Amino acid sequence: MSKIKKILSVLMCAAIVVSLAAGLTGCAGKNKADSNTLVWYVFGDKPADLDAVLAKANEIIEPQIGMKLDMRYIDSASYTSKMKNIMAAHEAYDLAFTGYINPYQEAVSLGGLYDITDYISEVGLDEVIPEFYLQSATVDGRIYGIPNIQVVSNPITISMDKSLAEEIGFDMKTIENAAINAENFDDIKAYTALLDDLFERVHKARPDLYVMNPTYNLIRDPFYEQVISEVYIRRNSDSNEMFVDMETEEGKYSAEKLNEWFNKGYIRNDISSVGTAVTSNDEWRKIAVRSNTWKPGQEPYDTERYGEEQVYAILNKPYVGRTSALATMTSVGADSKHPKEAVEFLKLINTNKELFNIICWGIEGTHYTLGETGHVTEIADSGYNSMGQNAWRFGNQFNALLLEDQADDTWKLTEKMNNEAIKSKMLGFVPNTDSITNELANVSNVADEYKAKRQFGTVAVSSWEAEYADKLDKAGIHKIRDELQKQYDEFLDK
Amino acid sequence: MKKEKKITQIILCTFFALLCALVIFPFLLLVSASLSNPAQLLESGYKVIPNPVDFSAYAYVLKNPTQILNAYGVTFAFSVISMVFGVLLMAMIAYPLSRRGLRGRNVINFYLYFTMLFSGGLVPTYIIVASVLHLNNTLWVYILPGLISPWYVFMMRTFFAGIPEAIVESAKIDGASEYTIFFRIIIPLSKPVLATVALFVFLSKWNDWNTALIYITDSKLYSLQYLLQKIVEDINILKENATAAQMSDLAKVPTETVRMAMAVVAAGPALIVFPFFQKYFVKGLTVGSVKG
Repeated sequence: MSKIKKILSVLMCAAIVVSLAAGLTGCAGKNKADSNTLVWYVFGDKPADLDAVLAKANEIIEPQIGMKLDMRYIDSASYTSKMKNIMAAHEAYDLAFTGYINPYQEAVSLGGLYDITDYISEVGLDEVIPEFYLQSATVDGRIYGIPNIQVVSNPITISMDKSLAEEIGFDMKTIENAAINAENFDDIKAYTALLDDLFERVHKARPDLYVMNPTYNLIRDPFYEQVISEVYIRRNSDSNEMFVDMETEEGKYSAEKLNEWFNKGYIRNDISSVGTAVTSNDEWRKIAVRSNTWKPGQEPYDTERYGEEQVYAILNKPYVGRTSALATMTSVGADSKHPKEAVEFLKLINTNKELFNIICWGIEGTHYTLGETGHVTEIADSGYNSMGQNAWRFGNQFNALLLEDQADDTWKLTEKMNNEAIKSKMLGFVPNTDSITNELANVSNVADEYKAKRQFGTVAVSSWEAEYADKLDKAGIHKIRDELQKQYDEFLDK
Repeated sequence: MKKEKKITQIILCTFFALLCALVIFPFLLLVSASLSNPAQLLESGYKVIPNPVDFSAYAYVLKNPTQILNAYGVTFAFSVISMVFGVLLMAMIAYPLSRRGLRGRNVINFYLYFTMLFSGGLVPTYIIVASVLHLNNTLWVYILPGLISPWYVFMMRTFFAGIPEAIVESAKIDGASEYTIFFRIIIPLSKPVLATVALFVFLSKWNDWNTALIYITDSKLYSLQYLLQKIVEDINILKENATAAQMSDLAKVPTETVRMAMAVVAAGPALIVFPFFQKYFVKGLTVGSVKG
């Protein structure tokens, strides 16, 4: 008993000491935003030198806007849930990253964002951001945030090692031409025949490699745009008709082809357990024909990643989907006390290259050096690293300084590709999914269940096709389709 | 009769041996994967015995141990504080409730019971904790909300009720105050239930990642499990949204083996703690079911 007592008292003492320490650090760690500060939430791990960088940035911001900037980093793993709580609790913040994490549309319907439509023209932000980006961000005619401009029109591509292509004597351009010019189902079949030929030759020449990765559906994805759930629309067509994935001849054809490829051993046979994500260079190098997305300036990265120079077949013309530009945005907080200043700041960060590059790369000499060509070399472990590569977290990526191994014209070419890309007919169409919430959840469950069969071709199509169609129908896929079609027709009438 | 008993014994032993294997096997795989060569793992999948044994994953984890050590410290601190204060406070609520003489006992019981059935939900809780009490980004947020669990209070109350009233009365006659009775008689007699609750509290706090997910943005205050969750989640987010720029980062992302090694490192202490409590644990588990 006395032993227990001793242990207990020691534990108690330890507990009291630790809680005291915690209380002290807790108090010291609290910094309340004063009324003269713009609070900006971004995702990521807080860089050690953030304060120094912010001080430097504020030398530019304060004279222009009359307010200071305070950036608050939240790690990406919890960014979405923390921002949801912040918005639901109506905490006052001025700016926040919205996009592929902390989705914009959800934030709008939660009431977490401020309607800045009127400020945009007042401040002149619309002169800075091209029209189609703003159009993408419009929900029921109102805008709550602006896209951080970056590449939004990447086409799907397949690539292989140059030496392998030469060995089997295959010209990737034939596939590219067939895919890009495909207009109807016969064209798609002709293009698929070329894929068949390529895969077979590759399989014969390099039986030690997986022939391809089914990350993208090569027969469907270059030609369809996903609306929501399993509902799609054709990209290069005048038809505004929405349809369910497996209910078209191409959809069914692609499933059969995938199964054929899987049976021939082109796809790794444990694909349903490992999934499509290829994470390491070692893994990439075990695949012969790699499907991925393409953007200007990609080649040197690919050479490093795949271990050899690549030949490409780009499978579709650059295309801006309905939600492409919504992947990276900065929005204004619903309870912001300074919405106008926040919009002014958005204009500043998207136009002032000096300010933008301070936020992206830090302080010259301390965190990075500029080479003779004006390209950045990061100083390792300087306390402000790996931020600028993801400049789209903060604003227009095309204003960011380039890294040493990036070509001078990378941004110019990317911007050109974006601006010249085909724009989705659905830009600005934001479906209201309130009436089909349950159906969406059910369909997503069914789709998950059949994911391996549908996306990787692991099982003969005839054995699951009818069952899948039946389950999707019961889950309410047609109600979703009809509702989306109705809303889309109304949108088109306006 | 004897033979029958033997057969039952054999069946029971086989059953529990199988159950044991079911539990241990995944853990063995985890340990083995953490000791494998990443390229090998990719090539031939998981094996029970790693061949060759490769410590590179642990070297990676322990090369820059500040963050893990920090998370260890934080997690250990709030787990111990919650365990000590939680058990003490819950015992101090449960004991009076177990005495028949307490006036308003039913009201207090109902008050506790009510919170078991109804909770305010995430957002109101968040508003109270973060906006009113400003507990976010402090160690207190791990400790104070949920320090008292009505479930454990009722478990203790049932146990205390089983202690004969006569002992308390005789102590009173000897001149003991209520505090003396509680600390010198009731607590020592209740070691099984206290140890059980302490273990439960410790384990649930040790495995707590949700609190950090909601309230902690300061990386120095991450709990251990959240740190692991964050590493895995960061990789997932990179994977799902891989642009070429991010892809260049992906090559540096911890591999499968590193994640396994981290899981082993994080699971360690909880495994060691368990045997110390086991003596009381078996007895404590029957608390509430057997009266007496």
